[in-house]
Amino acid sequence: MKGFLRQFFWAVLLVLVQIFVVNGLQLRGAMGTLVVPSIWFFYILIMPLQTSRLSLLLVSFAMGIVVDSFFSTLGVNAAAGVLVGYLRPFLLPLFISGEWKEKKTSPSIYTMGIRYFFYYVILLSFLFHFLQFFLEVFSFNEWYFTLLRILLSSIASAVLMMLFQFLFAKKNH
Amino acid sequence: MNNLFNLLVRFRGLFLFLILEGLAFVFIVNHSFYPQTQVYNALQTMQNAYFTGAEKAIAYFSLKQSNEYLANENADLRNQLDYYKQQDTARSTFSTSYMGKRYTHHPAKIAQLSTNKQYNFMSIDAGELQGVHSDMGVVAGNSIVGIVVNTSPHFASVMSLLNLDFKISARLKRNGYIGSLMWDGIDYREMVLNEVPQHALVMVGDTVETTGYSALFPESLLIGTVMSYNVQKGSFLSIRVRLAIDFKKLQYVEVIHNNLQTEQRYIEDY
Repeated sequence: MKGFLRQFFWAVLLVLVQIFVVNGLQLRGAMGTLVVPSIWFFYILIMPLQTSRLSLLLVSFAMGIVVDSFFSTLGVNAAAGVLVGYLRPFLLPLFISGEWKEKKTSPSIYTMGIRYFFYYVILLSFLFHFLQFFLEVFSFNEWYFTLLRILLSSIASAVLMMLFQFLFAKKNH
Repeated sequence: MNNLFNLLVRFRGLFLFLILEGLAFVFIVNHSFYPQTQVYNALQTMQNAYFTGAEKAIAYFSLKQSNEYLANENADLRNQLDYYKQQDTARSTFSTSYMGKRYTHHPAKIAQLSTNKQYNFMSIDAGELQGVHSDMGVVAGNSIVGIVVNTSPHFASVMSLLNLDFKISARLKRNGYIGSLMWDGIDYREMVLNEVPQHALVMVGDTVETTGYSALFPESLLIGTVMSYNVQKGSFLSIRVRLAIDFKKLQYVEVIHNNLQTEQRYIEDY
């Protein structure tokens, strides 16, 4: 029960940070449309290792819908989040060593090492923003411009998530 | 049957993934431009209630700017009033085609606004109960902001200039040449005026204004100034326009109701 409450707290905190802080970032000129970071799906990345695939998918979808409902983009964040939730079980084993898999723990800089954790975060950020931005514009016209937005935003998101991790990750976790 | 069941259990992750993605996709397609479901309206009201709260706090911190803006606008209006007082005495003997009031203004406050998407919308705290309905123009001071696309009882959703679907005719104040104004999705302070004939004389700093052809906006409202221009393929100019308003500082707007819109649409359609 305590574990569940803690998980719920992190999910709510990330959604609130997304709504109040990250979407309030004011970048000038063209940077405002080019760098649109997201941080809420970081929760999907750090859910405990033994979380089942079905729960990953359902949690991603629910959180995505909540975020979407605040930014009148109904479905976009949900679709991108569900993709991350689906791919996580396939991609995580590439970055984490075998001994951790058996333990009751979450992906973090302490269980994976800073370098591999960063690779893991930036890869999934890229996939998230890839689907998010192509769904948002809903066309392949000027795809190179969309791709530039995806690249810059994934880097910004990954940096924010690493910052979040450095601030809040616990060693004994 | 048993095999099918086994298959479903074995690939349950994939199936749930496809179902959820499909659901999200349905949301996106239905939601895109003219969301009308009850669910949406309920969400919208909740969301607006929340953002009105957040905006209150933000509005407090920018009181100084808002005051300056209002003072400027007052001065502007007084100037215009004086001008029209003179005009009126001069032509009070003429009869115009429509003696009533052509445009009505409803004040509104922005509840939510985005500038970083390719299809930007905003919501304002005036809705059907205040007489706002879709296809009405929205302005801030003397410059245009967007078009109302959907309404609920207390709120309205406005397609901003910063939307790839936004298109309106605009003209150069200097010589009256007309072009079509749209956003290219790059900078929230710049738009593009296309289809201006190449022989039109353009200079950097020229004013770009509305034409009054669309029945949405009155004539000669400010849009922005010319930043640069170049020749498009063919014989047209493509002009980059720096917008007069800064969407990130926008707080108060006015919805314009054209009292003759229905009549004008009717005669244009037949």
